[in-house]
Amino acid sequence: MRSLFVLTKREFAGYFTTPVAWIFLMIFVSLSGLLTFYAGDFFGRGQADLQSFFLFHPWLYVFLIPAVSMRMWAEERRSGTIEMLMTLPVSTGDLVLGKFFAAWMFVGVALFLTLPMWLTVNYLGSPDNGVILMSYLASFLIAGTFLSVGSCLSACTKSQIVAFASTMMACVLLTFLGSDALINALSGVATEKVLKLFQSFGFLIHFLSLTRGVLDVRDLLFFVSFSSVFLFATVIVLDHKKAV
Amino acid sequence: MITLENVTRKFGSFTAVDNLSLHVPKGQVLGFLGPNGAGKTTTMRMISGFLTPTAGKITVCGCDVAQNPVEVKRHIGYMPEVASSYNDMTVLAFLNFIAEARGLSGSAKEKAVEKVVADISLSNVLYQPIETLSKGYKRRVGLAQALVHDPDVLILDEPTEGLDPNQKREIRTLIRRLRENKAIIISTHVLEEVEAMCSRAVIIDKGKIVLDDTPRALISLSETHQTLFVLIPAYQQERARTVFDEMTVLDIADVRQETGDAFMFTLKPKGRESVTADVVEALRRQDIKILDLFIEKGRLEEVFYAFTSPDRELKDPHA
Repeated sequence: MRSLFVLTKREFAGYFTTPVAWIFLMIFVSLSGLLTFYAGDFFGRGQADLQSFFLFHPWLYVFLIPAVSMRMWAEERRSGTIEMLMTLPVSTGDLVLGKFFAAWMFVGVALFLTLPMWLTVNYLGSPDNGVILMSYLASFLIAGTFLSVGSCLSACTKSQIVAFASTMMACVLLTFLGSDALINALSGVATEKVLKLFQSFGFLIHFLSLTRGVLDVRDLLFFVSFSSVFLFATVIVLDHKKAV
Repeated sequence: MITLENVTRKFGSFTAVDNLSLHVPKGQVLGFLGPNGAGKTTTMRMISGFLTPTAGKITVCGCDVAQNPVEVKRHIGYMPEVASSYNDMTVLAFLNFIAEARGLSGSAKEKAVEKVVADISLSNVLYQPIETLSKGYKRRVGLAQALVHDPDVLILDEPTEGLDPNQKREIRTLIRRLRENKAIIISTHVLEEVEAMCSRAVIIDKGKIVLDDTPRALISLSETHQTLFVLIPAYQQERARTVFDEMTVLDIADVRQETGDAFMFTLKPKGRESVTADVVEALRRQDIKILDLFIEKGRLEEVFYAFTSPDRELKDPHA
């Protein structure tokens, strides 16, 4: 437990020593704001809520999460620091979790920096703050799940670029799985069961259900178990590929 | 302290380490020699728990590496061949991180870091990011992270690689000081280092141990071991030659005129025993002056070459 804390602390501090982190924070905060006001028509809707703000989060994450997760393991393997890291008296699981939590906390910081949005709607009207809190939770969860996928794919390669591109592809796919566009396109070809399966794996469905303010344990469980599977996969990949 | 039993490691169809057995007790400094690709690094990585053996068993301080890797890693300080550290951290932050990850905290941590910084002379660069350091300092940081928790077992993969002669000397002195109550394995290509700091030398080639003895014993296997160089005044040169010709225990390998009107005789003993006493005695009986005399101890380099070069003939080391 203590070593997990030590590892998470180092990784988290590590983010702020690179310019990538600051660029990420800047892009996330400004882009999420811009999309809310221009694409989401924040004022035109005339409602004091943050739906138009959260709606774009999964799509922002699709591009931005791979930038955070790409260096997790690829860089360790390329530079050889993995050898030092993995001869510390720490289990591989702790190493994987340490990096994951640090990255997740980092995205948490980015989300925290969007608080002015929340202050704004509270100034302009009286929104349902419970829904907003749930939406923040949903956004944080989907970010974590993307990060777990990124962690696994970053462990598969020594190249950050490959890690970035593959994670982005994976995130796009996962987000699209449950989208209406895909379901409509496939409705002629696939059976009802397959469509249902696709839908149940679609990130957007679970995300939107949470942002409506309904705390469904199944949605929560979906994100948690999905992340766990990919973090576990990271451990397996690392134990196999660390020295190659 | 370290025991390897029939350890084999394969990478695909390539066998890097082949049925290797080794025991290193406390207080021993083992010099691990061998050409590139002989399996030194793979062996060290397996002991440190970074790689798992394909077959065989490794125990460190009584713990099985495969069954209890975390416990074993607690006892080991490991300096990888590519001793890269987190480049964007300062030396102090990095050493603090390693100390914490190794379970030290509070004043114990501070003391441990302070000690290792003093031992490895890192105090000048403590607040510098590691990426700005010279190669020598980077290696020293790598060594420092292996020592910070005062481990029972030290595994150092080419610790003096890339250091200047002064730094090498410091590291050697440090290792000699450390060896009292530790088991140490050092791989190196610098053969004189083995003589300087190791109590045992193991040469491996193609994943197998080809020689295992004290550095002194290995040197005695050298071609030039016990070769005698005798400097004789020019006017007695002819007589000396007759004396040497008559001696049955040696051959004259070379005679060369040196400056100052003298001749240098290179005498090779036929057996492995020293012929120095016989030579001195024989010359004195003939009243031949010895201007200078020295004995070649032999070179580890020759032994290394004889046992690991691709075109070697397999020799029995004790023949």
